[in-house]
Amino acid sequence: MSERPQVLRAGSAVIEQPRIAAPAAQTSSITTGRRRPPRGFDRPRFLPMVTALVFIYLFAPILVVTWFSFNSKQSLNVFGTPSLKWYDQLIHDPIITGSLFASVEIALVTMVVSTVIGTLLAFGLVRARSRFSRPTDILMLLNLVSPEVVTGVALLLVFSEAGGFLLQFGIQFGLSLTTVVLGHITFSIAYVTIIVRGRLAALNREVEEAALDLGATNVGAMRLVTLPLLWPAIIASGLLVFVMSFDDFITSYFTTGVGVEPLPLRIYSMIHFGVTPEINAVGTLMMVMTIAIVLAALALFTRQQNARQELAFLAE
Amino acid sequence: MTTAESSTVRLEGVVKRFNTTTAVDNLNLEIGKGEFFSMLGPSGCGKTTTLRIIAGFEQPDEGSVFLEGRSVENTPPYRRNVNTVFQSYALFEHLNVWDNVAFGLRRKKVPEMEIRKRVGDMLELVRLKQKATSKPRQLSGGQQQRVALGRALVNLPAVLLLDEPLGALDLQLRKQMQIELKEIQRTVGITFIYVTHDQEEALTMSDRIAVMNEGLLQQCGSPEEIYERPANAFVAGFIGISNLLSGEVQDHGVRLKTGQVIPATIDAGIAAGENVFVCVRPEKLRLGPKVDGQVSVEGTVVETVYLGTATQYMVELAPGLRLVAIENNVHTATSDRRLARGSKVSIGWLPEHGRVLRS
Amino acid sequence: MTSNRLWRLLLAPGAIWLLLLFVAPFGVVIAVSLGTTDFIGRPVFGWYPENYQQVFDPIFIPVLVRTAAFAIGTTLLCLVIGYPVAYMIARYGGRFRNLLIVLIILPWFADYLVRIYAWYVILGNEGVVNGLLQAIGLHGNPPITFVNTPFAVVGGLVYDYLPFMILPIYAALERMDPSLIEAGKDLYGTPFQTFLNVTWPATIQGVIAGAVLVGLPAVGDFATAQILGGPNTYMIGNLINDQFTNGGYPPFGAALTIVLMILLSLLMVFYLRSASAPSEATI
Repeated sequence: MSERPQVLRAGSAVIEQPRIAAPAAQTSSITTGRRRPPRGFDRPRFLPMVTALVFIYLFAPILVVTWFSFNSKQSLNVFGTPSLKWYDQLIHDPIITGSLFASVEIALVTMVVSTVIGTLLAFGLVRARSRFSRPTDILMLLNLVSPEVVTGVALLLVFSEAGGFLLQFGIQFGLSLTTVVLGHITFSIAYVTIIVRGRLAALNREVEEAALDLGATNVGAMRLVTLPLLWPAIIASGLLVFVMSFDDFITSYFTTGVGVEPLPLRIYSMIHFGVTPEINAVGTLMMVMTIAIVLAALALFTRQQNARQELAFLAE
Repeated sequence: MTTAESSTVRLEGVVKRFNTTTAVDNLNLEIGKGEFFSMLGPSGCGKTTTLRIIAGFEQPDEGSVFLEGRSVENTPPYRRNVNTVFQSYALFEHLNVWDNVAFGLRRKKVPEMEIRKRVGDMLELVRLKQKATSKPRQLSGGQQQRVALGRALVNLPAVLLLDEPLGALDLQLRKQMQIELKEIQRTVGITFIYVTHDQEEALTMSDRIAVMNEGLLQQCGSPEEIYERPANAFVAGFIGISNLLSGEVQDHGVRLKTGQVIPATIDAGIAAGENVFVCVRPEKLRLGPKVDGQVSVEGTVVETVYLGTATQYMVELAPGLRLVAIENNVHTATSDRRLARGSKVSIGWLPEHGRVLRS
Repeated sequence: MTSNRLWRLLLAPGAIWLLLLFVAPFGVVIAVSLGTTDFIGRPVFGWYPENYQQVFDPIFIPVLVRTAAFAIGTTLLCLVIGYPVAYMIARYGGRFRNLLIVLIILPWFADYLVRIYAWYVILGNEGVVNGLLQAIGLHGNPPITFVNTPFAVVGGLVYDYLPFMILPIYAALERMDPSLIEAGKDLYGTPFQTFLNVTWPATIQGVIAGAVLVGLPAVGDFATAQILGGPNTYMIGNLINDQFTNGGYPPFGAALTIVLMILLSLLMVFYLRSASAPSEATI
């Protein structure tokens, strides 16, 4: 904690205050080591209101979409009778189901590959003492914050050029679902690395030493102690990557070829051709799927671990 | 020289450097079987580094380490017959108490039947039988500490290394654990190497103590040796309260700042005129008129502290020259019997109780 | 413990992948940006630095300015709206804290496009709001045009990125020692002063992180502007996107991309410097 004198303006006098430290003894309230929730009456009145409004703001649009996906009428502002006809239309539309499966496939492959590479990278960054550590770290961070437009364009051009180059040798290489996967993995690695690295760095090194001390080899210590403790972070980042890939638009937009396209791109075309409630249905469906996957994984996982510990991890 | 090794742990000329600091400087130690051996010193003195070298987590830059007579230069921690109790306990959060304790035995592929017996017995020994299925985070600090101990001990290593294991416990619990640890060590008969910065802990628990400072071994000996016959001013100052009177060697005695020459035993190596300290322990001082055969000095009482069992007096002989004396409250149980501030007093001690140490 | 070599090896897969598919592509982009196209519009390499001059052509200045304005506006709005929410949850959430945070993130699981589209549903000419107004008879024909305005675009952007502002601020607030606020209340007169002098400096890191997570992607956004906006809400992202579709000029698009990337990198460096420099009230 930094301890510099705080300058307080009281009226026109400038008073040098002693450093504000945290020990409970200085405060007027009775505190123990644990946090005590503040009493209601010192809460500014506007806070709950703003929060409630924001929650409404966040949920209104998706609720509206869901609501209208069950609309029997075509229009967007008149609600007819509840009907499943748009979902029916969806399921029987081969282009949509094709895109759906493609998106799921892409997301799965992306999840697996980027989780592996990202975890390895996390270990390398935390454990290795190498002059490549810092540059790789910076590279990864740059990747993380680059707007998708920029990386999308870059991938588009490199794939096009590579395609032209390989054509000379008779190899067909063009934009396709493969290039979409490659693009997705590229932006996903950084997310996995950051999450896993955070957890890895927080692990007590002595725990691994204890494993060695008790007879586990280096590989054994990794297998029996480090990885089990790291598992939540790896799974969480894997899920995150799955959702990001499934929902991804911009990178897919630049790296997709002709033929089957990922679902978000399909939605994009649909929006451009004209607005129909079918889009509401697709959107609702996608949302339900991703939420279901996340909830299912959470449920699986809290049964194995202490629930409170994992929820605490979410807040980190 | 190679002799039949009777020592369990032997360090020869061990040096360990980190960047520009020398954490351990030319350390030579020999620790025998079944000993309760403590390494004592302030933070940064090198005691923990030495422990880690014995465990195998650090490699010495120079020197050799022998465990049970065998050189362990190239032996990784998992193949050394040594186990560690870490300062942070380092329990496996994802395993329960039973699996934590059984971990080492399972690594050695001990048959499950035997594991069941040994882990069960160990949990009895550390009084955690009820908590076998609990996870570490559900336990108190003291309980976690006992899991760490049990986990290490159940493997019956040749040496058990303990890195300030009681540091995180409150005073009451610490005292209790000290007694328990000593009893366990006596029962199991394993060599304990115990690192601490608490000199009282070291004195009460150890068979021998190695006092270290800034990477160098200051003195190695029994608690009595360390306390009564400190080798240098650092050891004298670090253990207990010591009175260090500075002066010069003169006429088989030491000339104090006051001009008085007090008789003291001068070791052969110390020449006349050298600056030395006379070190006297507070309980060896007697307040009262001079008795024949005793060394006696005069001073004024500047502070009287009632300690319950004893009274502590701070007496000033001359500006900057003070003595702390402790007298049991046998005749001085009531305040009117105790010497008041400002009273003039004579303090005496037997010449052999005044050790002369180089400055 | 284990040899350093093993750990260094683990850096390899990630580093190589990033080099091949992140760094190398930029090389290609630079090459294309300096080139031109052949008769079917495919990039041809050459030396045409005038592509970069075109980036700063006066025609496109409004687009650049507008993009910056939108991004900054979105960031500020997210901050103003997001901070109170983060504060509310962190300080007064109690045991619902984690649940509330999950709820904040939940809308983000709906697809990006669907979220933008949802606003179109609400604000469009045939959308919910207009429909409601018609029904009440307040405004009927012609409907109020909410879309195709800068407000719709910024509103959409804020909606997209709000969780990314709330989360870092929440994390920073969580990490803060609550007794600091108690101490502040003892020292400062009004709650607002306490906030300004104690809470705000302590959470600055979170705010900056949020600003980066919101501002940078917002600069590159084009779908929001396209769906919720019109020709007068053109952003850089739209401009770049157009160059790679029919009738566009890829080298110019590439040049735009490089310039954008350089500007953002500078901002990132600035952020990293401020993150590692000792801050006022490091908690």
